[in-house]
Formats: sequence, C-alpha cells, structure tokens
Amino acid sequence: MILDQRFIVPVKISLMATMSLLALLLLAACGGGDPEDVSFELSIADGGLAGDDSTFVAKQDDTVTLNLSADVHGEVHLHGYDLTTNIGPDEPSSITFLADATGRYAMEFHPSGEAEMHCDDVDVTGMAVRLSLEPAAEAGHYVASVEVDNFEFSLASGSHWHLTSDGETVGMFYESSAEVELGMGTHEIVAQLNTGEHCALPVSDMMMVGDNALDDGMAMDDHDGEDEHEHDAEEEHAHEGDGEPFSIGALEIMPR
Amino acid sequence: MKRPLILGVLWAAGLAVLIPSTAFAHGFGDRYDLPVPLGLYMSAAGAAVVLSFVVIGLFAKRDFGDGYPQKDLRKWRLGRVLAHPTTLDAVRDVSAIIFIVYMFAGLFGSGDPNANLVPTMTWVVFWVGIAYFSALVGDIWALINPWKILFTHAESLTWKLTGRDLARYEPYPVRLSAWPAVLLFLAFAWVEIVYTASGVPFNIAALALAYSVVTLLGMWWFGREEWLRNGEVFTIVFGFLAAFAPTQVTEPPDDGVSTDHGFSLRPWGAGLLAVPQPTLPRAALLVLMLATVSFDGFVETGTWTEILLDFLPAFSFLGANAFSGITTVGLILAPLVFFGVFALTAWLMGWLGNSSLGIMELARTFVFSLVPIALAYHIAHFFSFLMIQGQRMFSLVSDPFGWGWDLFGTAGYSVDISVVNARFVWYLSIAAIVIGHIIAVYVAHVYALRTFPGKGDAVRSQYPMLVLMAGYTMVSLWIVAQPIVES
Repeated sequence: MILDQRFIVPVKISLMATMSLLALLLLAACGGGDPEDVSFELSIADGGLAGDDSTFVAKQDDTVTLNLSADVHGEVHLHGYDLTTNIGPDEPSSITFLADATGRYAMEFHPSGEAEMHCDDVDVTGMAVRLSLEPAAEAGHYVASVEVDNFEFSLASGSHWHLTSDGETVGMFYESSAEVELGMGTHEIVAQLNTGEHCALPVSDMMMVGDNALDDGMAMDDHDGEDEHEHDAEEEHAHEGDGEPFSIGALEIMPR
Repeated sequence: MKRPLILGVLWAAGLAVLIPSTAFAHGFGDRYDLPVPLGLYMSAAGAAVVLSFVVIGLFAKRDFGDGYPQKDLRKWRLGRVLAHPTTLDAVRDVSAIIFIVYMFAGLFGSGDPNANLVPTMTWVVFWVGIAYFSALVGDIWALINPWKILFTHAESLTWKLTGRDLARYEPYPVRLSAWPAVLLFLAFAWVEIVYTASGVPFNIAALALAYSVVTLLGMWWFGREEWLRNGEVFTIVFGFLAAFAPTQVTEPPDDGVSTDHGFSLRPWGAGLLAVPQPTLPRAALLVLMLATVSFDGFVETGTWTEILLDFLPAFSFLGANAFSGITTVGLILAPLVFFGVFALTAWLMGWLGNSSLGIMELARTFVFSLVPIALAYHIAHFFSFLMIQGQRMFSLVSDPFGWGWDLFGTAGYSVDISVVNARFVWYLSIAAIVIGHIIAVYVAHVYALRTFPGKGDAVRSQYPMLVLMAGYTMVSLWIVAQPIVES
C-alpha cells in the first residue's frame, strides 16, 4: 500500500518516537557499581517503627540484611520477596536475602497471640481475684472493686486488671476500685488480672449484674449460662491477642 | 415501572452481600512499583510540553480528511484464520466456559483470595488485562463478552424449540439512553476502589451474579444489541478504549450479498479520528472513566493518606467505615472536578475559536481526544502489576477453586517478582505518557480543524486544550513519581 502524502509526517514522527523509546530502553539496560552487603536496623516499638525513617534503600543484587527487634511478639513480613521471621522482646531476628528484584516492598508486622503463651511463665499459684459491684448514685453506674491475693496493682510495673461486660472491655484499672458505667439490663461482668506485659492471667472472677440486682441493692453471683459467655469472652480475647498488622515501612530496591 | 423495581431489588441484594464484610488488610494484589525518579519525571514533563508545540507547529496549517491509512488483514493468511467463523466460535465457547468456571469458583470455591481464581481473574486479567488488550490490540470484549455469548445461545435455542424470539424487544426509552451504564460504572468503580472486601472471591462472584441478572434481563426485555449499546457497561468502556486500537472490525458492506465483516489494521490512535460524536451519557461515562482511572492511582499516594487523616474527624460518625466514606466522596468528586475543568476548557475553546457551539457540544466533540492520555497513564501504572500479578494465572489454571488440584502440573508455580526491572518500567512509563500526550494533542488538533470555521480559529482554540492536556499529563506523571502507600 502506498502511503497517502498527508500521512508521511505523522508516520515519520511515530518512527522517531519509537526510535528514541528504543534508545531509552537500551540505556535502561546499563548500570553501574558492584553489589554490596547492606544491613538495616529496624526496631519495632509502641505499635510502629522506632525512628523517623521508614523507607530503606538498597540496590539490585545487594545482599540485604534486616536486623529486627520488637517490644512484642509477632511476625515480620517482607512483601514481594515474601519472607517472614518471628520476633519477640528477647528474641531479635534477622532476614538476609539477595535483592535480585527491583521494586518497593512493604514491610509489615503482625503482632501474634504468642505473647499470651509466654504468660504461661507467670506463676499464678495462690493468686486470686474477687469482684464486687455496688450501684453508684447514677442509674446504670457501679463502683467495681476487686480484692486480690498474691498480686499487687502498680503503675510502675504495669500490673492492672480488666473489667469486661458481656465480653466487651469496659476499662483497665491500676487501682482496686473504679466507678464504671455498665448500663441497664442484665450483664455478665468479668474482672481479670493482667501483668505489665499485657498478659491476661488465668485469674478472674465473674458475676452477673442486672435490673433485679439493682432493685435488691446488691449484685449477685450467677453462674447460669457461664460456659457460653466465657466462650464469647475467650474469642474476643483471642482476637485482641492477634492484633491488627501494621506497616513498618518499605524497602526500596533500586535498579543497578 | 416494573424494571426499576427489579433493578432496585437486585441492588438491594447486592448491598446485602456488601454489608457484612470481612475487611482485608489491603484489597487485592500487591503493587511493587518504584516511584519514577525526579529527573526522569521532570524531563518527561518538559518533553510533553515542548512536543505539544512541535505537533501544533507541524500540523497547524495542514488539511486533514476523515481518513487514515488502513490495511486489510484478510489479505494475510493469519488474518483470515483469525477472522474465520470457526476460530471465532471456538474463542466464544472458551470464553463461556471460563465464565462458568469463574462463577463456580467464586460461589463454591476456596475463600482464600490467593488460592481462588476469581480475584486474579477479575482485577488482573479482566479489568487490567482486557483494558490493555482492547487499547493495544483490538475490541476483544465484543467477541468474548460471556453474557452476549450465553444470551445468543439461549436465543438460538429458543428459536429452534418454539420458533419465537427470546427477547421481547420492548422499545428502549430514548431519554434513558446510556445512563444505566453510567450508574453501573460508578458502582463498579466503587467496588474496585473503595470496597475493602473486593478481594473476597464469594463477594466478587455474588456481585458478578447480580450484574449477570441485570444484563440478561436487560437483553431479554429490550433486545440483545439494544442493551449492549446502552446498559452493558463493559461493552461501552472497552469499546472506548478500542477506538485507540490498531485493528478494527467493520460491519459487512450493505450490498445484501456479503456477510463478511471487515478486519483491518490501522495506526494506533487513528480510530479516534473516526469516532462519532458521543451522546451526552456516553460522554459522561467517558469522563467518569478518565477521572476514576486517575483517582485510582491518586488514592495510593501519600497525599491521599494525608487527606484521609485530615478528614477523619469529620467522618468519624461512620466508625470503622470512615476511610471508605471519605474515599466514596472522593470517587464522586473526582469526575465532577474533572468535568468542571473540562467544561471550562470547552468554554475557552469556543470563545477563542469564535465558535457558536455550546459548551456541552464542544465538550462532547473533544472528549475522545483525552483517551490517549488516560490510556498511557493506565499502561504506565499497571504494567508491572500485570506482569507480576498476572503470573498467578499459571498456578490458578491448575487449581481454579483452591481445592488442591493440579490439572496441568503448574499448581506449584510461584510468582517471579524479578520479571520486570524497575528501570525498564520507568522508561516505559514516561515514554508511554509522553507519546500518549502527543497523540492526544494531535487528535484534538484534527478535531479542532473540523470543528472551527477558520484555521486560525482552530489553532487558537487549542491553547486552552494544550493547557488542560499538559495538566492532565502532569497529574499522570506526578502519580507515577509517588511511592505507593498502603493505607
């Protein structure tokens, strides 16, 4: 087919554009420098990455080492390369790999329920908690008090107790008594001891509170339907223990 | 009034799927793109502006007809094989089978987004892949549209059994035009960009099922082609992109003898010179598509994360859905802002070009000239995503339902993330964006020479258009130069 006269210039332009594109792509194949060993220190604390930097840069074919530490247990995940490692407060870990693929790879920390497993180390022998609830002046408000054996609340060590209503956290307290709003209706209230490392200890007390109890001017222990409710509370806790994954920055592997 | 009721019920059913959703950490399909370096970004921006003037300078006084070079593909053996009815029927059958497997995988297969065929098929192969193919090769959707294929089969079956038409051919309301497609596209874009559980196979399949019901009902009530023209949003949207494509299929000559469709080759973008002026809803759909393509990239930037945090207090009444609420507002505002800027440009064009045409008339005349810019951006933005996430199909074809099958021995294939080099992607991105920009300027200039009374008017009219296009291209470049942030 013979090209119409008026198309010659557009065709020339597209040819030129294609040629310059090819030239650019050829340029793209070139590179410089020798691969190196690079390492980065990542410290995870308070639900994030310590320090201001969150982007770490290396070059393609470098051998990259990520030295990781964290204040809680969990798993570090490097996307793309899909590498993971488990770390915890006393268990720093590292990931070393050959960065052969360029790109920007997100790093994530998945807090695990593992922290609770380590709570097994806490000796709970002789520990006990007894919950009592007194209606406060305002309707639906109560003064929740706990008596404890072999346990001490303190801000310094972080030892505290949690109060839950039907499995939902009402609050965490460092003193032995607190005024809380539980609302009207019948609720299952649980007090549970926790260590400063947020270990939920298998030491708790449960009682029912409700409209009837309010009329009587006293809360009464009620163990009916306990199993079902306890299951709910446990599920809630398992979820809390696993925690939401959060970003700990990104690793950029630049082309060489 | 029956039909809106049915539609309402279907959408309510669709919404029921949406509400009790499990939130995923990050939609579906990781992106690993490195931001384009500043130097490249600036040179590309400069090149786009300078080349705009080169194009205007070269073509300002040239006379353009309506034509463009074409080559009949049926002169070649390969072209004849591709256009042969047997080939086409085979492709249609394969497509229908894939669609049935897809629906089955979504409704009954594994719930793991990575193990199930559906998320990769939907967001990588269908949405990104077919868009690429439509623009760079040809209007494949017209051939493989599974609803069209299934309905055509049902039609011929009905004809054989009862001797009657399946479709009712009720008159399509003229005022409704392509507005159903506009609404459906907005819903689709919402699922793609905002919906946090868009990676859950069952949810996607349930929505696809709802859409299938709407589409099949529409074809049954108004007739197949009528609904494909006005309500089947993907036929329209992929058709827009295919206007850029280097192949074209034409209707058989109107001589009553030949039934062969034409099948020819043309330069990329040339088809844009021959598109008829879109109706108002089709133009609106195009604007919506252009705006959402950019918005989709914008929500991955750090700037958007800052906007989310700024507006969080105002949206806190939505609780855990606050971010989705803000993004929804953004998704609706983006096309309005885009349209506002475009309408202003159209007004300036009319004024500088001494045209008696109204703003809307001019906007409709010129809207297709923006397609190459959006397309170039789309190619730049999704190239490595398509190359990397597309590899998932190797293992998924062997185990589409995530049931531990290994049909073709490829189930164990793991994605190679080093398949594309970032430097290659950078140059490809900026080359695509600059070339797309040049083609857009050229196309707009040809439109102008046809629209405005004198050549001087046409050239003057293009100054606001050049500014708009430069701005639009800068937005594309800016987005590809931003690190992708997962919010």
